[in-house]
Amino acid sequence: MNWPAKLSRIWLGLLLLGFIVSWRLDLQPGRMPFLPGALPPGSAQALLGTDHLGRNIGLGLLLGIPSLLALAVPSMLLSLILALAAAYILSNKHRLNISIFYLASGLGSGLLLLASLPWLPYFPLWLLLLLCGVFSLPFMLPNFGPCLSVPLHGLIRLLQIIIVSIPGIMLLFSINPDSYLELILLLGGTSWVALSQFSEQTMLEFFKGTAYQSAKSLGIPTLGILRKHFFRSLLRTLRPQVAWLLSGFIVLEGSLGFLGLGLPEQHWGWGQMLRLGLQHAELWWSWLFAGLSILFTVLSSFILLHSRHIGA
Amino acid sequence: MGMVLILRQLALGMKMGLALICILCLGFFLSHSRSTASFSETTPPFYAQNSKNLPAFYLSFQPRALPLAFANLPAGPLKHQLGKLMLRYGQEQDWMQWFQEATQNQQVPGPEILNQLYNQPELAPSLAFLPPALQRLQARSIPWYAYLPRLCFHRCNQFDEWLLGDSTQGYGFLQGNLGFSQSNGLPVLDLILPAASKTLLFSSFALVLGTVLGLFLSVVAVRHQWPGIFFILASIVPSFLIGGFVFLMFDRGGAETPAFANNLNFGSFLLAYKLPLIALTLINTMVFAAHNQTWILAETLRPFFQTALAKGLNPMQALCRHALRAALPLMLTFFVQRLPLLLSGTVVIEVMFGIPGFGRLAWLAVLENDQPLVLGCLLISALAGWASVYLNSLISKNNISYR
Repeated sequence: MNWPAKLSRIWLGLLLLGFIVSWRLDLQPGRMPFLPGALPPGSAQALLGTDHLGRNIGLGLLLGIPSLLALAVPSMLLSLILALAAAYILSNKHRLNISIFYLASGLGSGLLLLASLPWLPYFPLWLLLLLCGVFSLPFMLPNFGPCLSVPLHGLIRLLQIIIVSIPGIMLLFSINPDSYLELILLLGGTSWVALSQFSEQTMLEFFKGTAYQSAKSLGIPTLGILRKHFFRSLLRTLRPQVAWLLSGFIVLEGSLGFLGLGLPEQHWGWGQMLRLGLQHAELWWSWLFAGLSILFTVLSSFILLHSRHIGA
Repeated sequence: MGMVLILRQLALGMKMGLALICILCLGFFLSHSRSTASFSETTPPFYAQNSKNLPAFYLSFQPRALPLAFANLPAGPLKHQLGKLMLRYGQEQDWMQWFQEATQNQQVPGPEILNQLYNQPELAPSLAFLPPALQRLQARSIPWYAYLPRLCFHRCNQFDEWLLGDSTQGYGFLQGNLGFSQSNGLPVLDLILPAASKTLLFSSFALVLGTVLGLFLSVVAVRHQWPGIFFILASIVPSFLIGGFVFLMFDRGGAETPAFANNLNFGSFLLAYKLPLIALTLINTMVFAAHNQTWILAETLRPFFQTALAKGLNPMQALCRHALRAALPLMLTFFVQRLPLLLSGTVVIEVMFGIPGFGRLAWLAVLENDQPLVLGCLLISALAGWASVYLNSLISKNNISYR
């Protein structure tokens, strides 16, 4: 391992340590103490200095870590799961057989969701999802009755083109999510397309290969073959794509904080620190540390995931 | 073959239409899911009294004998008693007129008095607040089916007006009108077009400059075997960091800023937009250099390139004549893919340098919760995205399209 990868590991280790510290100390943005005036770095009260309002920069950096991890990592995992599911369906050209019973329950849950839309401000989202889940329970039952065959892969292709054609930042602006859950669902749900296209290609090659055909002829179920022989190698192949995705999410979190949009009010992020710091550019420490933290995190997460491919 | 192509384009068009429907559904979601949604302005009294958030619409039941306007009265014991009086004594229009005037003059009696009137109609002449038309009350018999419930639909949302148009806004979105901004009342299209033209002016300039510089750098990098990681890492640096770096390095003050720059000649334009141009050109250069280097490098490993070198061609000539030409379709596809970012990819730079462009307009619209303007910006940028997908499907050499 050479020095970029080593430095990346050290930086990400520090991030993890910072996350544990902020979690153990139960740090809250609202409880951040205000020191008198803007202290430069190296002062006894604040090692990294304070901003123009007297807030501790080091404490702010610590507070930004949970926000960053809470957004980037789950979004990336959701995106990965969706991409793999989509790639599996696309590479197998799945068709969804819908019996009349399925259709009725699907329509029921759809109508329920539609009818409950006006009441969204009053009911929590989980309750609606639960109700829809209850209505969708018949989907779990064995198929019976006359069937309609719906090309599921066609629907996913359609979804891909819709997601690709709508610019992400404008979609974020339009929905303007105000909780981490909404933001994660939005980011994870709209950034799986490139990953799925890449995985689909790899899966198609695997399905055409002799290893798969031999295992299939032995009677091993497809998912079993994929789990034992394919997923590990696929994840290795996907690492560069995941690196792009993760660094993209980190950049997006910073951008949203910088623009003051899309994150909960109690959110405290490095992007926000950078924006406030640049308003008082003469206090160089108030923007420099936040900017460097974002830069190091983006680069180190990218290098670490991408290291095998870039020879680092 | 031609028919297949036409059908394929038609299918693509249908998919675009479906994407548009998705955006309209998003508009519906937006218009009622936020407590402060600016699409909703007609607060139904029940929700206003109870400090509730607005739904997009609500339904209510009332006896068929009662007039439709009765459904719009605020719910409560007073409405209940008034309904009973109307059912028993008729004269619905008189009752409604009296009630509306009394509400305006704040002279509505308590529900107990109305209940007393319901039981003792002979009290009516002695009640001064009743108009002469209601002084003589006579109980009537109404058929049973008049009590059957009627479902009343109440709309408290402007999204459908935005979509279909109404008397105040004229044509709706489906007739080609993007509506009016809620913050300043101007037509959305009149706000978007000048802003988009400003954005396109400087972002297309930066894109062209970045493409040329990126191409040059990538060829030089391949020729001199620079490590590929440099451009890749540079291309993932966030735009607000690059913007901040440019701001701190090159800002020397001065009156020429994009915010005050109107009707500029080319020299003044460059002077006023120098900082955002530098930042955006840097971003584009790094992105194009990173991708081009990978693609050109892949072409140099192929046999035709090795043959060209073996025949004694100068490496630079071989790169430019053969490897670059072979990698050109990929570069062109990538260039077309980045075209929608001319509009929507400059938000951070515009906000940072105060450019009154498309991205900043969208950003301000979100901050002011101006939903028609946000939806307008989304639709315009989505149109650019669809155009890019369409263009890519047309120029794709292998005729690969989204099937």
